[in-house]
Amino acid sequence: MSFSQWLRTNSQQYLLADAQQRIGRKNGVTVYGKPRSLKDRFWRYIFVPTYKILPDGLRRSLIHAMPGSHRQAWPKQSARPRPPHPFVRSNGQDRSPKK
Amino acid sequence: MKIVVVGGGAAGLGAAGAALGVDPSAEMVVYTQFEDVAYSPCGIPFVHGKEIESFDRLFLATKEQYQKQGIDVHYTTTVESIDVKRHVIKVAGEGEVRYDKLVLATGWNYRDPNLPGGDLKGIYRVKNIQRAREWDSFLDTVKSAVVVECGLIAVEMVTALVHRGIKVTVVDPGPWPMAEVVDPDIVDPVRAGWAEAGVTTLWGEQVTAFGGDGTLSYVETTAGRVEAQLAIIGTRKVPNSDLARAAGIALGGTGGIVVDARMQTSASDVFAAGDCTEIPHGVSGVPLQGLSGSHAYAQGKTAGINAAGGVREYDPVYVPWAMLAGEWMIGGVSFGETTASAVGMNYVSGVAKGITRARYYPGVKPITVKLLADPGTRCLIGAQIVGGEGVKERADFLAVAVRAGITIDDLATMENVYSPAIGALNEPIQMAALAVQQNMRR
Repeated sequence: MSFSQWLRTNSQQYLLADAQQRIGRKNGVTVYGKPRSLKDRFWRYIFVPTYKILPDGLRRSLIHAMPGSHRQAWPKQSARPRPPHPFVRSNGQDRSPKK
Repeated sequence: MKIVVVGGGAAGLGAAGAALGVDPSAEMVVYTQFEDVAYSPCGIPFVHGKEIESFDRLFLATKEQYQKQGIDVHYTTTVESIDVKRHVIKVAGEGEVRYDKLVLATGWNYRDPNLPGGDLKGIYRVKNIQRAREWDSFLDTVKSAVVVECGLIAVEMVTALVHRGIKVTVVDPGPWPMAEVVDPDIVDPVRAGWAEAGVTTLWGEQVTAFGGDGTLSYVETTAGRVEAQLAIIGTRKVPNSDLARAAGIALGGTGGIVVDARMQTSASDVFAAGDCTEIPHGVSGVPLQGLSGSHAYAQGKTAGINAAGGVREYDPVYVPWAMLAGEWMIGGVSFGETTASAVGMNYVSGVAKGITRARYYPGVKPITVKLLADPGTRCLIGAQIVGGEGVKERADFLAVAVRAGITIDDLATMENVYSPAIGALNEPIQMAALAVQQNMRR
């Protein structure tokens, strides 16, 4: 297994487990899972919190730096945001989304 | 021109057919290690569950039809290696075979749980249709089964086994079914339906060994021993990219073959398509592997057209998906709350519960729609849906909405069909968008 595969496999597993714990708690689902090994502790208590505090731009740069299909030529995403809809409905009234 | 395709699934046959559409004079050879090509493995659980009467119904075409089309399929034939410099593959029993263009469509395998007793009889990986025929008669002898991890096909197998009167225990390290893709509130009706149907679920637990004397008779788990004559392996899909790796073709972090929008790999004149590849996600850019049959088919067509000298580009994916889970349909697009949180995406969500037809019309069913939007751009970035019907159509529509950069404000003011027999006055997508708008103001 290459380094990028090792990183992807573990980061995906532990970031998902962390998210499941948070979203589960929010929905009243008890999520079990005490750390079982030193590896578990590293990914849960060092990698995940570090990933979460990284600025969004840096996180994206790091993901982009990993080898993979995302670094090849792909059609560009349509412009975002699209021109905003003129009104947002609020308490039965339409008003500009910017206000 | 000689085009060789390795793999006879949706991607492989899609590539072969599309290539011949561009260049009918091309010599087209497909190698598959299996006895058949182009059937729907996703349909296998429904034959086991007796919703479909025969495995023959799952085939897209006969062997003669492929022959007539000019596709020379070599069945039960293994491609052993690729020499990308010499444009040659080595085929078991045939020796070296030259190609001008090569398409790799080698598909996927279940992640090997690598457990003691893994070679016992009674451990079933739902994938190959000929093996499925054999397993189908075996199912008549089974009283209790364990589902080892709850991937998408495994969820369908739970329903199939329940229909066959088999007692089912699901053992999954995740906290709820399909926890890698679905949010707990969305999958909750499925959990409740399984509980009603007598399915035992062990969430947060793992299978540690299979036991028995030559044949499976029990499964050891972290929650204790479970008697079972059958174990369904439902672990995650992993790419079957060994052939590419050995040939020096670049692989990505998922283990899938790296491709560009033309499905071109790192090797000259070699294309790849389907579950052996990885494709970037349209919103996050993170490469994904293990998509659906429709993705594999579309990628195959793209690879085939480009291999034959045509021009086609495949887009990053937003992954609309939907499936039957017990009495419910469940589906989604792009992100749910769990996956968005895992990646670290900022989002605001909103949920609406609605109905699928007019409230007085027979057969009306409940439906819940959850939408996620980027608070910065107000664009839709994901959705999850559970309901009695109408999930697939909403997932398809919302995938286009995410791809096009439709905002939550567009959806909150959308028009919708009202017709008592097929649609209610209030569209749950619009109601969920209103909920997102409200939550954005908080």
